[in-house]
Amino acid sequence: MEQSRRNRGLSRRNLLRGAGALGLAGALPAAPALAQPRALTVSVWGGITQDAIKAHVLPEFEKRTGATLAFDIGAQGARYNKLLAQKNSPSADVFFAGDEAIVAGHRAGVLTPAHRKSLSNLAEVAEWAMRVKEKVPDDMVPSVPFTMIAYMLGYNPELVKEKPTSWADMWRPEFRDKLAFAAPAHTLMPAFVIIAAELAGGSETNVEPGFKKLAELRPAKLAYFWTDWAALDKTGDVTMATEFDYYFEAMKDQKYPIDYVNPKEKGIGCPESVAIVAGTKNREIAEVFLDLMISAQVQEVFATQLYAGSINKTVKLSPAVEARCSCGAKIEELRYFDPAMFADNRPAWTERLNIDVIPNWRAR
Amino acid sequence: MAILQPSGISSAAPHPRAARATLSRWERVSGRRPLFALPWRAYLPLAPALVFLIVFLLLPLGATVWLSLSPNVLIKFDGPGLANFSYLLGKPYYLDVLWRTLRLAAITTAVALLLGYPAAWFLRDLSARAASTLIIALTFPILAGPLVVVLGWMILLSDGGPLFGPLVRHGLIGPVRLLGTEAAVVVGQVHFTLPFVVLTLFAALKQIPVDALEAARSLGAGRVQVLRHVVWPLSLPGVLSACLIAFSLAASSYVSPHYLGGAATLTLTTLIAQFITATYNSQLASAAAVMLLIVMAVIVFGFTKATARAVRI
Repeated sequence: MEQSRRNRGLSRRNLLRGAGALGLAGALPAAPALAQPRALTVSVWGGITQDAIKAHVLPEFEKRTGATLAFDIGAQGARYNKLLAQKNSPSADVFFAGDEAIVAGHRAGVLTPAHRKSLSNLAEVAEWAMRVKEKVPDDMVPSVPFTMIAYMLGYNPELVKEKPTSWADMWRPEFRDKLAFAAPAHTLMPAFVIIAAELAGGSETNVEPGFKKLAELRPAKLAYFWTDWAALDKTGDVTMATEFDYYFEAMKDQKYPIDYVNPKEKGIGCPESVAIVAGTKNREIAEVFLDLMISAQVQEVFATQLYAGSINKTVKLSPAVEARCSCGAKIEELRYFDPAMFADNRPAWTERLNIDVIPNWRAR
Repeated sequence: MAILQPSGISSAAPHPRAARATLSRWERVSGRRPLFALPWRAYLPLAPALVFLIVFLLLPLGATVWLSLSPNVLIKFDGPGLANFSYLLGKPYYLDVLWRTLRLAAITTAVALLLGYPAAWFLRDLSARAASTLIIALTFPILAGPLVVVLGWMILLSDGGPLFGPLVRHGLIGPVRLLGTEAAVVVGQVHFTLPFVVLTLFAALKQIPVDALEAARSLGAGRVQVLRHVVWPLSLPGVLSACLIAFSLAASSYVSPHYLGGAATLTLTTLIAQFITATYNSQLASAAAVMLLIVMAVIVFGFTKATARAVRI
């Protein structure tokens, strides 16, 4: 009886057969790809930015070039490292990033300037937006800005009685273990090192007090992206957060209990740019793409739909839209940091944060 | 040179061709095959795999080791040298990261073993169809990949998520904070390593002859005694293999620590990613990777040696 039961059980041979069949099924080659039209590969953040490019840039791009767009999406750091790793044979043709990564990319030789004469809309770009100052030939530009967003201080208006007005409010006792703060590897962490230093009597060139001041903070959550802490905002476990203004606006649209202020020390202005990848075989259509990104039509759509501030001075936005993005007079109310200084100091400051600050935080 | 020979065969130094013929006869007698005793053509089937390993494993590994010995933006020295390793091992923060990596891997292994052993024993006695069905269900996390598994846990474990949210909202339990903690990382790692553990244990338990169990019962052993004195010792080789597999997978896991852990609970894998994606320091990242490799090799080797006697039946 036992023997017949054993014979009915799954034998090792049958198990191996089954596993082999599963493995073979998984390894079956996909159907061969049909011949693809020419494509410009865009290295960009996913989500709303990618969606906006697909909806509002792709149709005109296809009309002008006969080529289509392919996307390589991901966080900026990961995409930048891909450029470094694929320097000799890049898979992307254009690269979206903050100014610091654009500067670093030019220094590393993975980005290349664009010809001014190919950018018919360049004259419409506001001067304050051209913040990347890498040395390039006079007839070229290192990159083109495509939006201005700002990093601000958010709070839950249902739970916070005294509205914050300063970056220093993050250290208020009521926000201990209730703050969602930028993670050490966040793009803007160097800005907070400087801000904390200034709050503690230091400066941009004397940041040592800033590390001590940051070590006194008690964040509950270290975030790279608003979705890292959005659920905690709803449950009341986070009542204050640092985040980009256009994400705060998106959260408001989704009925999160959130509002934000521009602190008296000024919010952090974050111009974002797009540049051509060095070694691309699609330089011509890459420059068409850049030109489209700074055109008034695309800039207006990005402002009205994404609340991402326009860099094109000919764009006229309604007061309702201007109130929700980093546009117009708000540009003067933001603080701008030197991207080259960030690029120079980030490695050492990130180390200091990891070693001297994070262990004190006990955050998630 | 003394050559071990079956009796009746001359022990004088033979012609090389005769030696190979002699060794082949010896192989038939002893069942053992000396590694380099075969004609070169016998090794040809290994060539594709060897080439693949050299190109896609050894060369990149060599490049990583070279990078790990190179100066970088944070640590300047006349390379190649071990300064990157001295730096990492000299900072309590990085030692904490290393300890956390090993600790979480050990906890994952223990939990996976506790859950996997009964599951494998249960599978052993099922019919072929039932066992096949359950095994396919069990191996779904492997087929789906760790990212899909972890994304599911991100939703389930989120504060106010569908797992605990309703209980908290109705006041049945207090607020539960799992996402972003080491506990959440262990949950994700156990989920992914469990199928490997169960399959390994299942194969080992299948080897145990039914006669041995019947003999034990016929001698008056109860269920617990059968398990303790017959099943467990005979399954030890499988248990140890399962432990090694689970520990290796957990220690090298990136997806669970990244998505279920947090910036404040880095493991070596997420630290490596931070070095690369935040500070573009591939030299320190390589040093951390080589450190992980060496530590894992020492642990696996030591574990195998330490348990060799227990495994020998």
